[in-house]
Amino acid sequence: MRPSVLLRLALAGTRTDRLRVALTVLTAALAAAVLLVAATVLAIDAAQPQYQVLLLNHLDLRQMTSAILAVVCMPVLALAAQAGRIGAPGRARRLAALRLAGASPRQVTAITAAETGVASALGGVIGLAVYLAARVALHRQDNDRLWLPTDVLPSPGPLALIVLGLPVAAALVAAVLLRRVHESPLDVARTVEPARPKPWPLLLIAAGLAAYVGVGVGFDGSWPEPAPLFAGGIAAAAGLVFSMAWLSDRGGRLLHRLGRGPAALLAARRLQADPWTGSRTVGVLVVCAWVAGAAGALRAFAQAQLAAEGEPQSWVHEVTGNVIIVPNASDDFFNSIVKLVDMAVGGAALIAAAGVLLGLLEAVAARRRVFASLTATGVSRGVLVRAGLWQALAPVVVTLPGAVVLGAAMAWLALPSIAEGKVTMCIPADCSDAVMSERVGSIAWFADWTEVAAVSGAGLIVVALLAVAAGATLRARTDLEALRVG
Amino acid sequence: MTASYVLLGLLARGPRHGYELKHAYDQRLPRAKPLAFGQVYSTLGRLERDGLVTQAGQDQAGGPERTAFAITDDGRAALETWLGEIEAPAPYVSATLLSKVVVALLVADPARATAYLSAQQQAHTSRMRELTRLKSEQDLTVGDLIAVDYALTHLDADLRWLQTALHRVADLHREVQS
Amino acid sequence: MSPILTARDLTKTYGVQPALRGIDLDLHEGEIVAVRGRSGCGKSTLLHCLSGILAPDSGEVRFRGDRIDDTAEPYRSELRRTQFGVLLQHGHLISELTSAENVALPLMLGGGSRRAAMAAADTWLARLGVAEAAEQIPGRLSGGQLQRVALARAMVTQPVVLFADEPTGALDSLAGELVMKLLTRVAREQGTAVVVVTHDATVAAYAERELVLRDGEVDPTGLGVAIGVPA
Repeated sequence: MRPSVLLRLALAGTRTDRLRVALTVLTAALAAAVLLVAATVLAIDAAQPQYQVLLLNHLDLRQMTSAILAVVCMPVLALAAQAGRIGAPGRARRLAALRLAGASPRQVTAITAAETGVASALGGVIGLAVYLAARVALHRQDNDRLWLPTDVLPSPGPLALIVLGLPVAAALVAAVLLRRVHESPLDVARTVEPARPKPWPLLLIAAGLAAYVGVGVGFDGSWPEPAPLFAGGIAAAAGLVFSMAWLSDRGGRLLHRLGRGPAALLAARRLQADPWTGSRTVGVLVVCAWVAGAAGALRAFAQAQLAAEGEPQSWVHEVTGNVIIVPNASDDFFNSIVKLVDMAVGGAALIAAAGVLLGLLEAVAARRRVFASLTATGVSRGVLVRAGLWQALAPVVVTLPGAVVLGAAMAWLALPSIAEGKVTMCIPADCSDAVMSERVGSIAWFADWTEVAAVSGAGLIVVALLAVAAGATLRARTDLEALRVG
Repeated sequence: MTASYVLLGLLARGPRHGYELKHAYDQRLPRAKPLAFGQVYSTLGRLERDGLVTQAGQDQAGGPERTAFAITDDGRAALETWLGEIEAPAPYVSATLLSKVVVALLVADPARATAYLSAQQQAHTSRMRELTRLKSEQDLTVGDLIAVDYALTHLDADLRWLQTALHRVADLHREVQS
Repeated sequence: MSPILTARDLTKTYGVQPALRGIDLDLHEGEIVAVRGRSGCGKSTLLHCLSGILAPDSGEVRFRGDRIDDTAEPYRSELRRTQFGVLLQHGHLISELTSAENVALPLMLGGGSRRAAMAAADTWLARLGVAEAAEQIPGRLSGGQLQRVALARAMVTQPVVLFADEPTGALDSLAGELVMKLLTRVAREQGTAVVVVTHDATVAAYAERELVLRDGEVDPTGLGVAIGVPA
């Protein structure tokens, strides 16, 4: 097959296919830009970097910033996965037709991989362009200090890895995800039922929690080791994402047992029949709730510390015996971390919400014939919209608040207890630089429950609004043309 | 000559009297033209003469004396041969319906052709409706059902052929006009 | 006896293509009428207009004397749910509900309790000879079973009129015969009037009369085609 033929076949398709390609480009651009920023932060290697954004001036905090940026990539990847499903039945039919026309499995794989690869490469280039433009636009100085590390470029290795590796990785993932499609030249409509989800990903959450308990128990007053914190966080986040399918299934069963009325029945059976679709994007939204819970706890921690010490303090830096030396920095430092986390969570939640919406729209589109026939038999659209709402809310109504509390609890476990200190010495005498204090006790603190409730409520409202928004397209989807199609 | 093979087929399952044979024949082929008693006995006589059946005793149970007939080995062989012969598809298409439709389309003006064909189609349709009602409202034997299916399918084929023929003529007409 | 459903001078146009041109129809209680014609003759459109799924461009449809074509969609939805039954070529069952749940759905939509709806569903499935399919999801059923479950769903509300669009179109002849036999039998037992749209004369033969459409009009000759002068 000549490359031109390959490209022609890869980019052929309907409007839905073009939407999928456009979203692939967009997500790839987003991922590339975020990864480039992370690489830039890691590339700062001056001995004493001086930026207005204070947390870029410490090595371990730079690493944490990069890690947070990498975490932001997770919903982007989930969005990419959801985007890849758009028009999937239509594409599966087209690929099956290609197989019938004599294409080998390898050629069909090449066609799918080419579509994703080309789109991701384009996205990567756009991401690079956006990054370079932003670098110029944000190159500002105040008091001889740059705001952001716009004077640094990522080292060539990571740069090449991001710009070239992203499309290659995306193409490989696409090839692996669609491997089933190529097995048979017959339409995949008769595939086996999806496997029942298993509850084992819940163990990942437990492992993450255990890691944080370990960090908390092992706390000796020093800054905790980042490795178990990071690993535990990743484990808990992955556990949340992967256990969503099982939770959806359980939610469906419960709804089937307890729910009354046809909308609940429709939603319950739908959740049980396919707990996988959309569970990952919803999972990412739940992870955002989890991070928001942790951020809330961080804020509560700062406030408790403020209350304990009467003036803005950053946290423990160095420990000698039971005497804690607290550098008397401004609260900018701490706030910039919380602000960064908040921004990251907000952005990630926005992207995840977009993914959830896409998933819901796709679910409506894939079932238009069923919806049309239900409308023909006199089912009002209200019932269908309510069923969509039940279906979207059932898996998250407990999970989302649970994730917020889990995040807060994990942050609470990992953060040091707040010392109630007695100042023993000031350096210099007016305590303007540092104080030495003796620990006399600790102050109880936990995340603000109103904030937990607010974040949970906001998350649930977002999901409900998305479900209603997807339901609004039902009117167009239930047109009776769908009944005429064989 | 089909009737003699049907009688042979009925006898292949065991000896029977002529009277029984007549009823079994009507039961198995309920929609066929009924077989007259005289025809049963003349056919049996011919079969006996050719050595395909033989008399298998007489009885008088509660009525006139009756002769039972049984199939011979030659009879079985003849039946086998007949069953093995392919029925040649008719070499020439000939049916009154076909001829009438062709002639109607040829010579009649459109209005008269339409009137004739419409009446013909209605006759077919109402016969189909009758047979369908029979099929769904009564408990028919398998033999009856098979026979009704045969009749229905042929009527349906006639109608479909008629439709196709009319559409062909209409298409042709449209082409000539344009 | 006055007809239960009447259509007068129905027209419906898709774009520039007229699908229906001045159709009149009277449907009496318990009557079985076939609508026949080649594909594209407007027979499905007629069915959709009669059942209130589509609104005609002009003309009127009356059910028990009341106009339904100019009423709001919620009212027509309710009418379809309570007075009409709809059976389509591919059954259109909901793939993740069991057969019994599919059949129970219309009753539950009408506000019935789940228990009562499920009991009625089981009765109907047994009546149509598919009791063994009650707990199965549609994906596991044969075409004939699917259509019988779909028929149960259409009949469970004991509709006044049943609309069937090519109900045997996807079935082999014996399965199709069984569906048509059951359809006409239960319709007669319930006193349900039936409008069955089909291109198949053997299916139309189950009806008491038939309406043949040609280019969106009733063809009084029943031939479905105009006879031109042969070349």
